[in-house]
Amino acid sequence: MKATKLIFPKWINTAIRLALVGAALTAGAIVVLGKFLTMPETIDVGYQPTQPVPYSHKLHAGEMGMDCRFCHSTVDKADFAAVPPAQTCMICHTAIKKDSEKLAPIRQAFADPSKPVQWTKVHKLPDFVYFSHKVHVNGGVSCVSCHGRVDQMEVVQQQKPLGMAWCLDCHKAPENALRPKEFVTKLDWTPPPGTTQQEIGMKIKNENKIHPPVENCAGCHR
Amino acid sequence: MKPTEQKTEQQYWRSLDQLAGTPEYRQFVEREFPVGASEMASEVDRRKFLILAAAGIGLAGLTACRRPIEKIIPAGGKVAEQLVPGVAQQYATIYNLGGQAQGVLVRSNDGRPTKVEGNPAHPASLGATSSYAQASILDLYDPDRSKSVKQGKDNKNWDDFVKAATPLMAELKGKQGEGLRFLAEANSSPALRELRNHIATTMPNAKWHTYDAVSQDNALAGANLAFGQPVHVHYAFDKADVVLALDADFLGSDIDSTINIKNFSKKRRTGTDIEAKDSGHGSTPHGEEKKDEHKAEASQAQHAVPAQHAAEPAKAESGKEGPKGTPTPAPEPVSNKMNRLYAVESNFTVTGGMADHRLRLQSSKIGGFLAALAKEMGVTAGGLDKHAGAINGNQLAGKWIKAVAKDLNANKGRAVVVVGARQPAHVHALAALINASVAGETVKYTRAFEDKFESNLASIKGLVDDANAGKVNTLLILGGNPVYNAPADLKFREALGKVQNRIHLGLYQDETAAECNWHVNEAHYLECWGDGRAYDGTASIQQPLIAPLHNGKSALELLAVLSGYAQTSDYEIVKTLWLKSLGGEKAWNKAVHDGLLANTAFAAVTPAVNAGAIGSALDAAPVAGNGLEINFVQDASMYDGRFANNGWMQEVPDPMTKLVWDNAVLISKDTADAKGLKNEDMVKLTLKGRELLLPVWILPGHAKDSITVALGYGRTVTGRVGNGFNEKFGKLMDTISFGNTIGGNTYLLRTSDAMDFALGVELAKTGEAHKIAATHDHWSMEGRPLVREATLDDFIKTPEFAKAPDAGLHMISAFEHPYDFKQGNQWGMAIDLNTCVGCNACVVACQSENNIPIVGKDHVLRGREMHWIRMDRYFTNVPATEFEVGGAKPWVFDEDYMQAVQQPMTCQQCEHAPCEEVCPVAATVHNEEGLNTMAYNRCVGTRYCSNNCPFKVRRFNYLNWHKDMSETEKMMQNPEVTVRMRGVMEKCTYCTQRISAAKHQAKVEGHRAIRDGEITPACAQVCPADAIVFGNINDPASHVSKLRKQARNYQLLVELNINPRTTYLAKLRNTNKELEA
Repeated sequence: MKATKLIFPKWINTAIRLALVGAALTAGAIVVLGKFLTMPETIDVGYQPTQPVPYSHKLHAGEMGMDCRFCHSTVDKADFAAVPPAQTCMICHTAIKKDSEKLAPIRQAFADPSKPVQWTKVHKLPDFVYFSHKVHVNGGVSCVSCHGRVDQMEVVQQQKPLGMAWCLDCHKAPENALRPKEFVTKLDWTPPPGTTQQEIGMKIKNENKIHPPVENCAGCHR
Repeated sequence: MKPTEQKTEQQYWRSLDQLAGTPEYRQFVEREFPVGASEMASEVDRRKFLILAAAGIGLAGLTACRRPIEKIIPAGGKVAEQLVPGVAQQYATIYNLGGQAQGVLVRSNDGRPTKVEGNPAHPASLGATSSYAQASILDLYDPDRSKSVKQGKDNKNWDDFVKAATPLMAELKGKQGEGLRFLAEANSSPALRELRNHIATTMPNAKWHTYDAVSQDNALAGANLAFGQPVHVHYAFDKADVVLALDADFLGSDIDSTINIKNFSKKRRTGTDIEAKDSGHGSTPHGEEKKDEHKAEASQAQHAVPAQHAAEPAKAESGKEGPKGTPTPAPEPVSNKMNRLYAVESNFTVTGGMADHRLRLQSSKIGGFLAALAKEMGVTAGGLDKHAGAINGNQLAGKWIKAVAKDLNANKGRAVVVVGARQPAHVHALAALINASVAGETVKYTRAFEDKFESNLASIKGLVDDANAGKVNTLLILGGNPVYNAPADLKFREALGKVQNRIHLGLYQDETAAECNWHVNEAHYLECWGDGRAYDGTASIQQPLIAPLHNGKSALELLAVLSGYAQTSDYEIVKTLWLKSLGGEKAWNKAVHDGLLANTAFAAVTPAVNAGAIGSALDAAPVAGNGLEINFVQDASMYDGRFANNGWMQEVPDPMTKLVWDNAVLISKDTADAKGLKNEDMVKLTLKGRELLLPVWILPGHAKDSITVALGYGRTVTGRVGNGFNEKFGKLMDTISFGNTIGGNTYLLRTSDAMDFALGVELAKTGEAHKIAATHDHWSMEGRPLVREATLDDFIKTPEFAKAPDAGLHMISAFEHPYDFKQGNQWGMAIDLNTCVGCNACVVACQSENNIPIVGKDHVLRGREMHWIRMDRYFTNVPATEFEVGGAKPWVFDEDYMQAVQQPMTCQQCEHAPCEEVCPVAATVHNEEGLNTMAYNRCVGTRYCSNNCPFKVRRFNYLNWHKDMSETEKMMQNPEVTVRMRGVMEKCTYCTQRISAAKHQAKVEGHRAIRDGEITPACAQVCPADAIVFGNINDPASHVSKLRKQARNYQLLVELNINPRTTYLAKLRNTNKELEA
């Protein structure tokens, strides 16, 4: 009897090929999935934490039409758009709904500076990014460009990805976002009839020589 | 350069090893990174590290999926309206050192003081500060600061202390203050004076003592001798054409050095005071034209290098057309105005480095030198002959005396003789006598802070004697550390032990606190109200920026509470006092805002010199003998030891020796050779039976038969930094051989009869060695001609001399960047080597502004220091033999003619940056404004860029230096600058955060252009010499553009075609023909 050599059956060739293809597909899927899962659009958009006080932007900024800067008063003066101190809330709420249970943390903070309200940050940039509200707002970029229609939000959520690619889209073509400075906080502003956003944006861009950093790393990273 | 090679050009070198070309030096510089720099520091080896790292990533991978929650916490309660969160504010206050107030503006980021800058309106600052003031902010946040009141070893609080002290004070008051003593450091505060007066009236028998280890005793005693009253001497260096400095480090350690540098530099901007002729718009000093221009010059002037012997060549350049047809700018008219500085000194100081001529002479012989000079100048006083005899036989000194006397007499009214604080009173008095005949406007006198002169030494001696005699019942020590730094022969510790109640107020629980029954933690100057006077008398208000972090108390509060003063808060004390003279709230607010009270400087006085008294003092003073001399000097980093726990000061290299984290016996090369000593040899110093171990460090150019030791090291009770221990990285100093201290405590040798220098010290080699970290060979430039200097005469003959040394080879970059550097803002910097003294203020300012960490001695030894500005100190010496043009005699090392050149070296922001071309991840790239930017979050740490940098100015984070930062240190970080982590390369950014801030502000203000001078990097801001100028080189009217057009302006390594944005203005020396060797 001839000694049987250990020979792999023929189907093994197919199996190996299939396995290789399968591995490649799996690897590809992992990469694609990984990329998708870690995209700011996936992990950051829609972030909507619960806040210690159920403050409604929809009510205050939308229905009552308060200007954004009434509370976020530093937005055109500082790099940061400060969240207002309890004192700002108490301008009205000493008279209106002054006993509301929901406002208890505000009253406590106003009475005792050592117990401030701890809001949860919604729109967060990495520490190595130096974003300036002052420059954007004074340049004619509306709040709505990065924060969405906050005036329609009962609870604030992140609507834009705030990733670097997304930033650069606008930095490359700022005309798509620029508007006259006086309408920066008017979130429902649309170009007047007969004009387009591009026309208005181009005009402002050229007049004010707006060249946001695109390839200049030091524009945002330092 | 090997010693066998004969060089005919003047050589510039950083260390004796480099000069000799020792194998150790070659090996050090030829490695890609220094030995040990790339290796792990701890016992964890690479393999183990990888295992741990892999496990770590596995675990971290899971947790990293969760989004970190950040809180926004707006203020509760009522809010100050004028404060805008996120916008930094500056507040004026004062920094007190040595009893003198320096006005500063301190930046506050949302209530946290983060950076000290000079106050331009303050006469002791004029916008600049010392490195001490820069580093003082680190003390505020030092986690090792004293955080509580202590009774013995027990933690107590302020109320406990007051409770315990009240009955004691009541009892003392009953005895009219009998047995009550105060010991404080020099202080010019009017509020403190008021409290002292209050104490003197309520407790007339209490006594106030003053002691500073580094004091103005000699100068005041000298003035007292010469004028019969203690006066402050003010030198107007901006009016002096000839300056003779006798053991006077007036540009370095002197009490008034910030202002001295400021004024001195005004006489050194040679060639700048004439407005450049507008040479057309095509002459923007960068780009292609420049390159060609250099090429043309280079071919003409190959041998015109270092200037000392540059003769006629390369003249007649004007009107020459560059090959591209661009007219080369005609050389500007050159002004030949420049002062001349003679320095006679034992130690090699920064003042000696700046000097046009320097004579090394034992400190004990300097009185003799001055006496001989006085004789030569025709000044008469008793005792001159006797003292002049001390330098008989010193031929070089003899030659000097003739030449200097002639020069001083020829410049009457514009000359000045400056005597250092370490010289005895009679030398100061004799200088006053000489100045009376030559000074004119260059010297001004004002009254001193104290009307009656009592020396520090007499004061502390009196205290010790009384304590030993049992006359002291209660001693309040207000700041200071006398147990550590009082003269050794007084045995202060033993005397203190005989005092029943010992109360110490201090920032740290130090040697003195350890010997007291009560310690009260002091408030930092940024935490409390106070006042003070500048050296010229200007009254200044000290305003806090933050409430005391650890509930510290100021000296004012402590005294007020103990003495029962009308007010007990420091704010009330200071305000009530000043309201009396100011008249109203409005004026007070203005004074607080400005940090000073206008027109309160002391009026100049013109006291008559009492030549007779000076003569009899000279007659009485002994003449210096012979023997080995020891000098005790204030340390450039530690001051008197108070900065021992300040890492910035420990790690900033000494301006001359480049030592960090150590002191040493500084000795000249010839004396060391004669005694068979080499660097790092441990020696035993014996002076009058007292002994101390210290390592040797050879400082070429130090006086013969003389050694210098710095005070302020060897602290035994201090914080983690000062004890050389750091939790983060284990021992900062494995190589320590002093036990648990940094350096040796030289106060152990310093006795009351020899506070400054003494003869008769003995040196004995122990056979051991102590590893010293000196940074002078780190980041070596391998002998490339980076510093250029010429004599004033040669400069006038050949104004463009600095541009000459160009090898003529121009590499062509393979990379093109897409930017047009003729458009928009193009940032550039010009650094004037003729005014830079090397004071280190910029190094520390940069560290403070840019969140630069310290690394510790061991890591410095591995070449891991992180400073973005490297202060390169080059030694050179003028040829000892006459150099004739063409007559090439060999250049030889000669310690009698040593000179130094200081060059601040930082990222040159090359237009064709070699670092960018090798970065595999494009983490370092150019921007359209000519900045070589760093995107830290992109850097993967290959270190190729550092390897390819021709200036070696890139710094790599080998470890996470910011790990485990204490909560208080976190408060100190500049929020506008990223705190870098491990594995990231970093370097000077031209303070890109300040550029961004100015650009943003300009946009907000109607998209206007940025004004010249609107952006000031931290180094330029602090520079007392105004040697660093930053601005837009595209704007022909900008200051920096004008400097770049000057004849002295040159770029480094032109032959590499890298086109650095930083340029240097060459150094000049205004030599006296009669002293040229």
